[in-house]
Amino acid sequence: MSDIHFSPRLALAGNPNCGKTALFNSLTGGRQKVGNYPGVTVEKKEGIILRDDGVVVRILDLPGTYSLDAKTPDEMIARDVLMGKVEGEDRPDVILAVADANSLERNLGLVLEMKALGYPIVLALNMMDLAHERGAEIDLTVLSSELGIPVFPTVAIKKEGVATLLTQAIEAAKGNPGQNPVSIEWHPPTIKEVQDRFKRVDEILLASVKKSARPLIWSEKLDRIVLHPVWGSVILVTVLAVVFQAIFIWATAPADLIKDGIEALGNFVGSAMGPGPLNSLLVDGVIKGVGSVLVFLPQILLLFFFLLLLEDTGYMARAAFLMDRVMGKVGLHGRAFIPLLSSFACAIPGIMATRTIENKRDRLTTILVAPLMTCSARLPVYSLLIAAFIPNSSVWGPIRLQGLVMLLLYFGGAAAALGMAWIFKRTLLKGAKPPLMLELPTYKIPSWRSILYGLRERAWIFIRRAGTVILAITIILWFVASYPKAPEGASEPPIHYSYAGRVGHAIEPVLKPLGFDWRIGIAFIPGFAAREVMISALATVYSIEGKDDEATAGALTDVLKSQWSVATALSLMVWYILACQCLSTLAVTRRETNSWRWPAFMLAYMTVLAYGASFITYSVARMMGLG
Amino acid sequence: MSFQEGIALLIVGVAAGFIFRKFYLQYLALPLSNFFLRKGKVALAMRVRASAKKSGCSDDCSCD
Repeated sequence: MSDIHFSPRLALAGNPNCGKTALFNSLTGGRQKVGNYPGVTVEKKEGIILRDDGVVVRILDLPGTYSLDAKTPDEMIARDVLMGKVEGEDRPDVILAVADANSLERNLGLVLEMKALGYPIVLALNMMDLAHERGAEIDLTVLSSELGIPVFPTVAIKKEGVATLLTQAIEAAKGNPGQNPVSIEWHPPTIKEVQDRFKRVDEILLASVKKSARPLIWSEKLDRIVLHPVWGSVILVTVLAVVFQAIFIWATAPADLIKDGIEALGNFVGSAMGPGPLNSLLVDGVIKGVGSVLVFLPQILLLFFFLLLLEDTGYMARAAFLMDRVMGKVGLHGRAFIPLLSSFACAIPGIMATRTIENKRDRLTTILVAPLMTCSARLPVYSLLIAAFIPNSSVWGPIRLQGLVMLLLYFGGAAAALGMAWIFKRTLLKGAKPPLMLELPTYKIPSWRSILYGLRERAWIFIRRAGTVILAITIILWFVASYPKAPEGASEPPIHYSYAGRVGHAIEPVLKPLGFDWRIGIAFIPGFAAREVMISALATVYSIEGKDDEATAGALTDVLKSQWSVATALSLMVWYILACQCLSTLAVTRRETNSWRWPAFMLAYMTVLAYGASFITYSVARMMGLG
Repeated sequence: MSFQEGIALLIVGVAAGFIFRKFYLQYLALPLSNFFLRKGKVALAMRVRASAKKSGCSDDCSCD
């Protein structure tokens, strides 16, 4: 067989948290996030390696599973791929099994199960550095002969042993070209079979492990504090407070740089061409609109930096454990914490991550409340409103009011999600709360490579959104806000006579009780495509209006400060916490629930909730003299 | 219509086309494919479905 046409397909399979995804990243240089808690890999991920010898290797990163006797949808995906039961998915040529060298007794069970399927298997004994540090002594030759498969030590995050492992896996595939099992007979194991497997694992360990890894004393001591009901909660709140303070303080300088650059570009383009529609489109629409969103790139990256850092160190799983008590009180399953946490980035991966929840009602409840968690698309909107209306004064020492308000907005979203879950679990989706089984990973020094991959990915997603969807919508918005032109001798700015102006005025009566005028109404509509578009839409609307009106010209923050009351700003913040203004979220809910009923219900309940809460906020703020 | 206005409207047209295509691929293509399938027009349904498969929301909050 010529190597040029040889394209083996490897499947990475193993327990959750054994470093499988880190190995995938090391092998492929892939951009997949490395998770530290069970169940982060819900979707199938594939990477391609083009080797110097011309061999193209395809690697499949399967979701982590403890057994082939799958219980959750993500475990079922792993099993079904190995069984060749996933439509359009070729069977792998070789299984690249991954096991944590520090907990072989748990990891080897799955290896034995996979071996019984009849595939060639190569075992990566990962986290060997940690095992050595903890005094473990494993005879790899004995382990290999006991298991009957080749075993290689690896430290995935340092890329140690990875090249040898890959070469061996390719060799195993060469020795088995296209001979993977045609038909796989598998049945759920009986109790006797499970007992026999555990017994066999014990025998293998007895023969191959000379010394077991010492328990990590410092890790246990640290967990006594971090997982303590009181001190753990204090630490969690402190960590979150520091994160949100840093987002505001550290992002200021780079955000100002971007802002200045965009202003300079706008001035240059504006002066380089004569006045006219194209000038207006480029300056008022494209540069001001898209630029007003791009300014928030540093804040988005800082948020993800902290999320990735906490995940990589192993703290996130501890936070999940701490939160289980709170989640349990509202009837949510502990496993719901990870989807809800993912929703801080975006509700779409959050909703998809609910596949780790076995119970249908628990899963549906989590899906319905996930969009209430504050996603990163809301961050630019919050930042804009906070910068315009909340003074940057010191509350206590280095703690500033702006960062504190941001934290409160995030807490507001989380509280709303828990509150609605409490209601759903007592009405529509009644059911008992099953106990949480969560594996706590060991604390780790974060992998900076993995964090950089994650940040690069987030930056690219944000810039791509700004350069495609947001740009296109802003251009269209410019058109509907500029045409038809104002009649001769018109007294109002031209935007009043435009399509957008007319629509804005038409829906203004509905929004007026919330303190929103027709301009906010205009910005709401394109905001459904992407929440950040609200900002570019406002920037475009005020910029077009500002051509003839001094009061609405200038930087968006200054314009809002002069045009809106504090009551309006507070009402809009509350609206943004609670409203379901995201078409993609509704689409993914439809896909995950296989029905239009639930996305329709989600849109309805969130809109009613947002309208009611914004109305109350606006009314109370006005009564307090803020309107 | 001035030259500037002509170019501006051309850009608007391209943007509108881009958004429509995205909306179609993301939200309309699959239901349309299912509709054709129910009507027995399998070849047409498969063609529409193939175009829809190039697109969709991924788990990174991006929808192509």
